[in-house]
Amino acid sequence: MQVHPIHFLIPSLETTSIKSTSSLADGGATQTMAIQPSFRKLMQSTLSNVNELQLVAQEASRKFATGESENLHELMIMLEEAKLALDLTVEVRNKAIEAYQELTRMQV
Amino acid sequence: MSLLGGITPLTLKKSLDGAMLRHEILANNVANVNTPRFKRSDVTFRAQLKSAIDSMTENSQLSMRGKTTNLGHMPIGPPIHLDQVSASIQRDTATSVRVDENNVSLDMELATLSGNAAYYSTMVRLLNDYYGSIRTVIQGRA
Repeated sequence: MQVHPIHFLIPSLETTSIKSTSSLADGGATQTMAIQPSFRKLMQSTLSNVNELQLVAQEASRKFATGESENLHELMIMLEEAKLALDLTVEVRNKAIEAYQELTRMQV
Repeated sequence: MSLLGGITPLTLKKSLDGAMLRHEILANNVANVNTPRFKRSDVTFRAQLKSAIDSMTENSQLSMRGKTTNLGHMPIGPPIHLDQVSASIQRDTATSVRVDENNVSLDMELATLSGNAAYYSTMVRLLNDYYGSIRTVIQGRA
């Protein structure tokens, strides 16, 4: 229903980064274990939020089409929110791929 | 649910069909405002759309449907698929506004016409946004 603003994500990012630096001395295995689940969870919950927004907007547009709801401004707000969330997701994906490609191009 | 054949785009397409037919019928009413004995017609499609969506999304087994064995038979019960939804034209023969038995009220027709136009443009925008979001995902560009 709601896309979390970035400041909700910062504490979790901070804890993972602290964990990773502290476990850096112990060995790489624990470090990846600490980061992976939280990032995966983050991605999953964000993607399902985006999907939920789309579904809600679609249902609202169906309701408007069948005359069940006459609330045009609410529909437009929902549509715009769903669109923004989708655009944000696509942009984050593009940035991630860009970063990955930057890494693959890097001279060792 | 397929990419472009989901319930939402089908609903929007059908509502555009209905709104276009309604525009024609309402314009015909306006054109015949001075025709003696003319009776106004109107188009209903939103209720049909709603029952079709309801029958497609939930308890489709519970809704009964009458069998039609003749072209003149009226369908009973909700349509099985959105594709089969068609707008119906109703002629209002019960009322008359003037002595010449015409029952077109120009003000009301114009108000209904502009309401229908607003509905139509909203549906166009909704369908546009729907296709736009699919295009965003395909192209991978926001």
